[in-house]
Amino acid sequence: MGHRADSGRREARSPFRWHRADTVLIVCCLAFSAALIGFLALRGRSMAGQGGADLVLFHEKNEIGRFALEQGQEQEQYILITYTAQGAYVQAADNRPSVPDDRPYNLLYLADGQVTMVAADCPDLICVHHLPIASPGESIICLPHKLTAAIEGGGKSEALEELDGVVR
Amino acid sequence: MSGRVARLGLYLTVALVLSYVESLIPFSPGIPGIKPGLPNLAVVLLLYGAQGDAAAGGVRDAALVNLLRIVLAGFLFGSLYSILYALAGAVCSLFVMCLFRRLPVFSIAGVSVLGGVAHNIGQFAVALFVTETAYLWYYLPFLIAAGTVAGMLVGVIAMAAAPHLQKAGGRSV
Repeated sequence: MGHRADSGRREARSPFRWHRADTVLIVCCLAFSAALIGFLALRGRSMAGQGGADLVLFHEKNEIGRFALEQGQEQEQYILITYTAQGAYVQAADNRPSVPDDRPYNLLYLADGQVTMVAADCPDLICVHHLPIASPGESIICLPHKLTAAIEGGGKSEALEELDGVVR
Repeated sequence: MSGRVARLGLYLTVALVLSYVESLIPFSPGIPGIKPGLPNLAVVLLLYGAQGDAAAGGVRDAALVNLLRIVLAGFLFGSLYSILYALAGAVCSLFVMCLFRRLPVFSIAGVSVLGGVAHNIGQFAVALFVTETAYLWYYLPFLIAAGTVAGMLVGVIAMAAAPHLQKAGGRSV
């Protein structure tokens, strides 16, 4: 046993050979993130069960809009956010609005308790490629436009503070 | 001197080509900031001195090539935003990889995993600073997992490539 450990250590000198420590590191990283993801998923589900969730829009740190999400109902709504030097403007519409060509915008689509970013003119379009969000705590963030579209549910702020504590 | 210029030029070219290849892959897993990080192959190999002589492992070379790669790729395939994020990630990643390269604990793959995770945490920190929203914390576990997988991928490729580089170029590669 002692001999094996010794030869393992000598082999560990070559950086181009797989070490046991690599496996341990990878398993630890994946287990840690999986545990956190599971924790978040359970949290989101239990909060969603506590009643109505809201879609809340923030520009920089200011709340600029709040929309109730109706789970399982035939809700269909478009939310157009446009930006000028003075700030952000929010417009809701039942039909898909045409997007402006003279100023920046994000277009959100609400249906079946899910929120999707369907269009934007930001350079990377990361927000448009984002998965739909539905559970409290989830968000779509458009960094170039400094827009956060987040789902809030019952007892949300408490849960986020708790999460803050866990992650730190 | 000219040998170093030629060598670094080659690595920069490889890194840029990999950046281009990565920008072509229609890879959008629905969570921002997740990508394979193929260009880091060049950085990791440089960090280990590629010729296998760990003492010659070039932190300066790796940092230089990575910086040039980020700026060039940013202007070619990205935006100013992507340059800012890439730089933040690169600084964290290189710092952590330098630190752990000195320990005989991990192979190039383990160091690459740590680099990948550090890269994503660096970008996460910038995003947190820019948006100042607590909602971002939700992404952290996904980013750690993605950094682990991407780092492992790059590390395994580097592990496979290193012996060939040693054989092909000896001291000059």
